[in-house]
Amino acid sequence: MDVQLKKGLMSTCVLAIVAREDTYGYKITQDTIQLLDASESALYPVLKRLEAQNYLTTYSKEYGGRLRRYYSITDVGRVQLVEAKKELEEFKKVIDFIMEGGSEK
Amino acid sequence: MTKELFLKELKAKLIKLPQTDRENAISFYTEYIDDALENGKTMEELEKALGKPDDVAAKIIADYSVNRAKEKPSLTNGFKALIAVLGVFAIPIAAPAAIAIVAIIFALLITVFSVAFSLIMAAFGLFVAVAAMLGVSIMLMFTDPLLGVASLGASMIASGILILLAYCFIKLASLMVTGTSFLIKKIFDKNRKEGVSA
Repeated sequence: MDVQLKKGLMSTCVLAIVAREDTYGYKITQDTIQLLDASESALYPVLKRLEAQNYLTTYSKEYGGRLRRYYSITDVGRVQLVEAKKELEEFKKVIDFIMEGGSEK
Repeated sequence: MTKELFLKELKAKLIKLPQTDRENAISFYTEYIDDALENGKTMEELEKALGKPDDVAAKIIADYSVNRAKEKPSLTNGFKALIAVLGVFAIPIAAPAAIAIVAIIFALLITVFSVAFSLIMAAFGLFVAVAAMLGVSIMLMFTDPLLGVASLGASMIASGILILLAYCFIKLASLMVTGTSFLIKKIFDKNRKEGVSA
């Protein structure tokens, strides 16, 4: 898949995952790579960027005697996710057309 | 590779990053490995999914350099980003990237050396011109002493300026060559670490 396209999809995937519930790096990574074929190490830069863009925020919570960093979506992040979904709706029409063989029904 | 060794190697590879960025990355991957092991993964499986500390570090550095080049656009940051990105791409497409790098370096070398060579030749040409002027002035002394002295004075001034210019040319030429070799060394160092030959 095109690298830029994959990057964009990966960011949106992460936003969608965190929007469901606050969760942590390992879980986010596993959920994402089940959908998109990528190296697990691709996720850290994505999470860091989403945090820098203020779409995600983090807090530490104790888990099994150690601290785990949880990611939580911000209001700005939710707005961004809605925008991304709108864009994907447009894509969906094109994809459906192509997948149907590009012919009229 | 044990968890401790993995993190130690990652930390060493990230040494050029600012402390906070490095610590963030290390704490992320410490937690990540803990979670993976608790989920029944072995370090071997983890290394397969994540890549070696080299690959993990290359991704972090590439992202950091590109962001920095975007925030503070400068020639140096641009070059750093280019080198870091070449480092990441060198892993999956080692041979084409290596060929491209060698080609770029070769072109760079030829350009720099021809410019340096022409600068040195120009400096040499100036010396010859000054010498000829001095010779003519001395000959003039015998036929027309007044004109000869005036001409000698003029050529003395000219030689002063020209020697200064020639000195600058040679300095500039040597500066260009050192600069280029430094850049090439950086590219090579980087890619040796990322394993272009692999």
